[in-house]
Amino acid sequence: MTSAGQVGPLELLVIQPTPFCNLDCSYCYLPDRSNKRKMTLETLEKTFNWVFSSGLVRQPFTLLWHAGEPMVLPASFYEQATLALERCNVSAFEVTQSFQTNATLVNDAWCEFIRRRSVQVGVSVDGPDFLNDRHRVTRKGGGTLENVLRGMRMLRDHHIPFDVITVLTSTSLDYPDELFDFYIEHAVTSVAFNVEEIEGPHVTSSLSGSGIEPRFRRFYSRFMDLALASDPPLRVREFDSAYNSISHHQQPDTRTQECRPFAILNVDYEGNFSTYSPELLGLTSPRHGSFALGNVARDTLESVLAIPRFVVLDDEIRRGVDMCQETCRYFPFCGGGPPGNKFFENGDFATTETLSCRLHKKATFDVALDKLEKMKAVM
Amino acid sequence: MAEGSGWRAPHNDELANLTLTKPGSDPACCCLFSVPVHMRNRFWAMLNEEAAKGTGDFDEFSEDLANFLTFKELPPPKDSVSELLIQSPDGKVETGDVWALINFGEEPVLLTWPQLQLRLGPGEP
Repeated sequence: MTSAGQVGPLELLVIQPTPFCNLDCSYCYLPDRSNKRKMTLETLEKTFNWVFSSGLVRQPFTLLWHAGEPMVLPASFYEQATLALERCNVSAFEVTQSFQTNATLVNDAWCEFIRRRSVQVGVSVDGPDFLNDRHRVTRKGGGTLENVLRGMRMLRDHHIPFDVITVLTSTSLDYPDELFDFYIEHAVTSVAFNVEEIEGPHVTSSLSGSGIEPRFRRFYSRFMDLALASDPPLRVREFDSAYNSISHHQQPDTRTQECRPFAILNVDYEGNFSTYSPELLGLTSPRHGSFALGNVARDTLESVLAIPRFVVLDDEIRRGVDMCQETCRYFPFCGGGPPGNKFFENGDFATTETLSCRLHKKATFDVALDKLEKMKAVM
Repeated sequence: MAEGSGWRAPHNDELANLTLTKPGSDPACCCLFSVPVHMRNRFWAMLNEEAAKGTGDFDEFSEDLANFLTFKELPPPKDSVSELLIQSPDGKVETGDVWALINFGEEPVLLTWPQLQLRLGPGEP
């Protein structure tokens, strides 16, 4: 049986203080995003107590407020949360708080809180209106870009740095120059590209059609040419990640956060928790049951590690990573495909390649390698 | 739109996806893309550099522009050359025998043929 000392250490704590989101993006994987219930301060305190008494905290970690839209709760909730975090963190481990937000609700109170508490901010925006407003829409179907830009302006006016996450769809692949223009116009200095994935209730992706991979590579190559030539260079998470992998050559047995049990802990508004890929929380499978493994109010880490649901899940995910290691030449630079993607696309964790692997890992890695080789050749 | 082995007119929703339609814009105006702002900025920087130091590299700029057009699946014909035409906004544009014309100015340009008038906004090819 796996013991508490064999899992973790915790690197990422994802708390979903409410499932509700004020937007209704067409590619969203959240099944419960109309539910307006929220986490109570009592549940929050129990969550932090559970985390710090679990033995998982052995190094600094990031606390990510995510999914639904965290800013539908007032900044005062997070002020209380920060105080609770400080009370429970008796060994004073370094905890970096981070928000992934659509930025439509940013106001002065938020900016004041973010600055005072040194919170990191990631803004979700998909580029100019003809791209962003195609998928990132209100509950009435209206575009959201105008409000997002207002939020981004407010963050900038308060001198709050932020990263941008853009979800790439099939349409986006025709517009690298337009996306680049958008980031420059809005003073974005760091961008991450996610691909439209098949996850949870979002059962199809515009990127799963034939002919997508060459288009994706072409898009990414052109975008990286622009990003690397800009002054200062526009930072791209996927390129930085590939560069680091190439420079430091990860050991083949290094597994990604998502593939290691309890390196990520995901907690929902009721205190239910899961590990591995965050998007698994709140979903069930006929074979695995609920991916929520326990609740902070009643289950210890040791008890959860012993339940058959975890044992089966852990075994399948380990086998899936082993298969990646045996069959994929990118494994030393990847560490194993995301279990959530494997499950939603292939129906089983003990599998290998997914859409995310092909585009988000392999294509971006190949393009980065190509750019680095060309840069080396001219040096 | 390609459908099977033939072609058909786009449906309204497809046309909306293909064209840039903004409130107040001319509904007859169809703009598939513009030359991106970063490239227009580079064009003016190249001209300024030429004026200040005589080192503006039009050939290099033209090559980058060709790369952009190639990405948009409109590669310039092999062995084609790029020419820079400077004129006042209200002057007559002599299109001649050109493969493409791009308005790098800051004002719209009106192109006139016997059966057709075409208004090129800034950055529009």
